[in-house]
Amino acid sequence: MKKVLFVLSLLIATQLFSQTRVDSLKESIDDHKMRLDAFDERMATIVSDVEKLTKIKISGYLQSQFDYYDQQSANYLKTANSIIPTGITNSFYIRRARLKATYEATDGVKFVLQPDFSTGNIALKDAYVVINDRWLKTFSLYAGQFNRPNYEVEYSSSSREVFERSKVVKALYPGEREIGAKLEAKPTQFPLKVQLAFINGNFTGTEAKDADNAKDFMARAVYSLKFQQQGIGIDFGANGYLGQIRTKDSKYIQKSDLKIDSLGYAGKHIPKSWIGAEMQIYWDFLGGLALKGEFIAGKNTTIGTNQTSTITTKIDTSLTNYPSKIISSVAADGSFTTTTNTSSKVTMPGNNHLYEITTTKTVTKANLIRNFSGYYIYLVKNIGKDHQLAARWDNYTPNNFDKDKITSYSDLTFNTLTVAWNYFYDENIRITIGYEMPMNKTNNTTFKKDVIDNTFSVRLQAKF
Amino acid sequence: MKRRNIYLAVAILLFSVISMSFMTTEKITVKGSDTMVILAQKWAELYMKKNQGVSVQVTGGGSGVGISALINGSTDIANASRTMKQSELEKLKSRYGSLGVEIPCAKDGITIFLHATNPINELTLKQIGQIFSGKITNWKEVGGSDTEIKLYGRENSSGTYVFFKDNVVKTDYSPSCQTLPGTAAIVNAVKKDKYSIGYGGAAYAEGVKHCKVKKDDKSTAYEPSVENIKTNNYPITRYLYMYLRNKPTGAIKIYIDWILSAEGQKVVTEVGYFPVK
Repeated sequence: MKKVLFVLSLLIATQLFSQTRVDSLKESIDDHKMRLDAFDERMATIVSDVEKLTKIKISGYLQSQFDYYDQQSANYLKTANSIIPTGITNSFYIRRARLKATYEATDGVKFVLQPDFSTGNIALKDAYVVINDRWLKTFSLYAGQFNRPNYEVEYSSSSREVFERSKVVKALYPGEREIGAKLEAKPTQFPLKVQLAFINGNFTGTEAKDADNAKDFMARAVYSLKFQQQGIGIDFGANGYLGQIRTKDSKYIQKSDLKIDSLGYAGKHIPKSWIGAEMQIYWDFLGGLALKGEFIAGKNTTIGTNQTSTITTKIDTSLTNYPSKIISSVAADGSFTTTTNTSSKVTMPGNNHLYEITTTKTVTKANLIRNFSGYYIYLVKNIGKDHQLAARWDNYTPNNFDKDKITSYSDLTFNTLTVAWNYFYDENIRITIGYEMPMNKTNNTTFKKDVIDNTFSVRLQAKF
Repeated sequence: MKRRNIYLAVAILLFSVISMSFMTTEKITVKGSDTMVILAQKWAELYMKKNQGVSVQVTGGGSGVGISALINGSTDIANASRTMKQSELEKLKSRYGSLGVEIPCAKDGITIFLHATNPINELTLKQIGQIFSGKITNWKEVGGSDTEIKLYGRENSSGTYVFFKDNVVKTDYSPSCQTLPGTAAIVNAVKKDKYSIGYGGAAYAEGVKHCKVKKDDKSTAYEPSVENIKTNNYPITRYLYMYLRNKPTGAIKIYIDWILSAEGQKVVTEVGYFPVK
């Protein structure tokens, strides 16, 4: 009996002990499960936040440059990208420092913002929304400030094989960007790209504000051929510009033949238009070779503006002998000068009086209409994976008129040869060494010699 | 005698050093598709065994990563389970003046993975697209049980992600689709989740059910078998590619020729894909 009781109590104790262990194990499992559930919840929030962050993409590039300039004389000013103080023959500077933020709000909708932080200059480059059609996957609508549809304009400065764009493209599309709306069509099954843009037409790179009611229109179409077996790709196309610009300060126009005409009143619109043809050939020959070119011709317009200077002198007689306003006759270049005089009495010690005469001279330049043409040809040869040689010949004839009658620097025809060697240190760093040789046409009158304005440059580019 | 041994040892050492300087190891880098990474590694292993002077380095990361590496010069061959995008081609043209070289090296059927106990055996392309876009969210809508569908998919750098989106989903993926890094991870996830569905290369499907796919309600449903993929009967068939910057020469050409040979294509079958011809 005692033995039975002993065994029974042993069994009950064992059972109780096991039950306690199971209960405590269950408690531990429940506790861990709760912690894992809490961890899951936190992870879900973190994953959701990380997914939002992956929609933001930041990229950019920095170009540090050293230039050595040949100068005509101590008074020569470089007219390409920046104004160099007289007498300086070499400079280090930041050519471009760009940061681009792209946010993909939903599939097919992107916001892009790109400021430029060059030395002494902060400018907004790109600021646009692009909406991609999700049904045909063909159309994209851009609205905001974006690149004008042109091959050399759209070709990124971080990829370009030579330092700067050709003279004709820089002249026609200052600042590269415009404000407006652009529609692009790139069918997935057909190798054609069509771009149509409606823009303000007044962007100069420094002045973005619209100046008139007229809107300009640009169109570009490019077709791509692929000969895969031969390793050859050919892109060819055409582009056009149709627009007008409102005159501001002058009613006079100077045409291509340098003759002066009158619009009747300042504020009238004058047209500008041109057409272009482009081709890019890519050939998988000994590491890769590209031949690219474009020709543009048409009518360009420059608005005549005022240039004002003021002189103050003191005299001891009144303004009687000074006319308050004189407008000169129109000069040969269509400009005229308006001189205004104002006076104020100045009391001197001893109760004497003097008169302070302020003379303001405003030179109003004529509006210019020019028949122009220009072209560029690039030859780019890859050597191995890391080296690249590039050469470009570009011509810009701002005025197709008789070269012997050209008197203004802005009408001077330039042929420019640029050569460059690129070394791709790695996927982010590129070193470029190059030489640019602009050669102006000479004539028997004003420009008897080639202006000495060559530039040797070394650039270090970091891109991410 | 001792001096003669020393001279002999020096001569042998000199000869070894000089001859080794001529025995340089050719290095080939291959980067890209996670779908192809096992296949690429098997190719590399076998090839290096037979060619001691060649080193083939294989990494994954996704088709997008491989093509980016090709464009920036950090890989010789980019593996991709999709064709190159136009924007990628433009970058290649601008950087190298070349259209690139596209070499199909294998065929693959994108398999729809289901849990082994899922009663569903076949789906139409439209149903699969609607499931992954979030339009169909419950198994009962396609003849299964009344349970929510759990989606597993790939990250957007994956060629499989792009191919599946362009050819099956045809719109955005559902926001609830969980992103996993690689087909193996998707197979593992579907194995553990009774009500889940995933997609990926045929070579990885072990321990999960292959869903039969039909073009529409009236068509025959096909499973991703060798025969059905060879004859293009299976509706989600694609090529797997190798991309190069320029026409291959030297050691790279010899390696690619070997991949496309009978011996290289045999490896394709062993891994679970299908020969290119």
